[in-house]
Amino acid sequence: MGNLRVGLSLNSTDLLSSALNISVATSLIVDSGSLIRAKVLGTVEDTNDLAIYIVNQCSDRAYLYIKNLDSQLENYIYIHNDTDTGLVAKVGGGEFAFIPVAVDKKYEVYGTKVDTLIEYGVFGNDNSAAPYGGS
Amino acid sequence: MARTATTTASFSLSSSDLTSSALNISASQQLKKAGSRLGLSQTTGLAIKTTSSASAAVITADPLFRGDGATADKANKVYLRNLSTIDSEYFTVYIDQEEMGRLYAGDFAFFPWKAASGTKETFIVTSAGTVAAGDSWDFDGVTTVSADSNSDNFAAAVNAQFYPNWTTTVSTAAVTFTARQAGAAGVVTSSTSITGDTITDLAGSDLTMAITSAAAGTRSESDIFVKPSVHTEMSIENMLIHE
Repeated sequence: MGNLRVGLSLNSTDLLSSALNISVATSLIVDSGSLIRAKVLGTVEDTNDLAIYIVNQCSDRAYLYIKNLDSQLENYIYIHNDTDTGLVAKVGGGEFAFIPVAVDKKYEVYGTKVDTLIEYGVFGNDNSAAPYGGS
Repeated sequence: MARTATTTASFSLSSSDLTSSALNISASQQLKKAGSRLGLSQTTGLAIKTTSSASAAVITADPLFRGDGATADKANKVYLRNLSTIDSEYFTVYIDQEEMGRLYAGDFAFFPWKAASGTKETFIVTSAGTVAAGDSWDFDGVTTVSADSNSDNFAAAVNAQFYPNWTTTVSTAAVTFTARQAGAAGVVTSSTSITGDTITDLAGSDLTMAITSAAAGTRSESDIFVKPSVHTEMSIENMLIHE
């Protein structure tokens, strides 16, 4: 097991009339993880989607960190799982997200443009029956 | 002049023992409006929602943010944190029908939100025939009583009311009702009829409140719901920063 320390801060002096200063951190006990840089091929939801998490890759709980490395905010990537209708998130160029993953669903990404470069990592407790990267 | 604000979100992820070499990821961004260099300037503020139910059998998912509450397809951002201190307690986060995942005790999430709104039900009701003082029309729990025999005045009185679930505008004898929230509420049943209105023709005149136009709505496909894992009290901290 490893101790993964994650933190988030949100700061602004002028969003509200009083300063905003949110700082949270938590330790996640996980035994595996990955950090991958990859290009997204598909521009619509189809078989060209980039799989970033496969069904039951982790057991119990898992977390996804994903960053869209494109320099243009309007070049989005779209995250969805393969069993529900709709989107999990739409991440603009330069933006990041840190979200929990429903471990029994497959997560895929497509983008506004071909070859959008992303960086992502999934951290959780590995399920050897569904290894990272698929089988 | 458009309001702007400078808000910075910083994220860090590190571990000294998950991998054989130390892991250290950090990301930071200024929260800007889509297609603009201006910063996101509106927020719900930091809030806490506490959920509870009578029993485990009746736990429901509660809406946290409605798609109508932020401009669709923009650079809105959501922060969530499960404030529970009991390790096994979690909130399941849904974007409409799409399950995002579980936030366990102490866990947080930060993500952009598409906020696609649906369409709002709308209909036009037109005062016709002969209205008389004392005639009334009831809708959405609000009753309007006519003060005189002028149809336009009655329509203006209907429009002047405050409706919990609808907004209104008026043009001569026609009042346009628009739902406050997107959704297929079921009030509009066809292009010329609705449910739930009652006309009272006290004075024996021939007042009618005809539905002259109507359109059903559709639900938002991006409302954010959270469903607690237990029926006892759980709290989730939340904040929406949006355009």
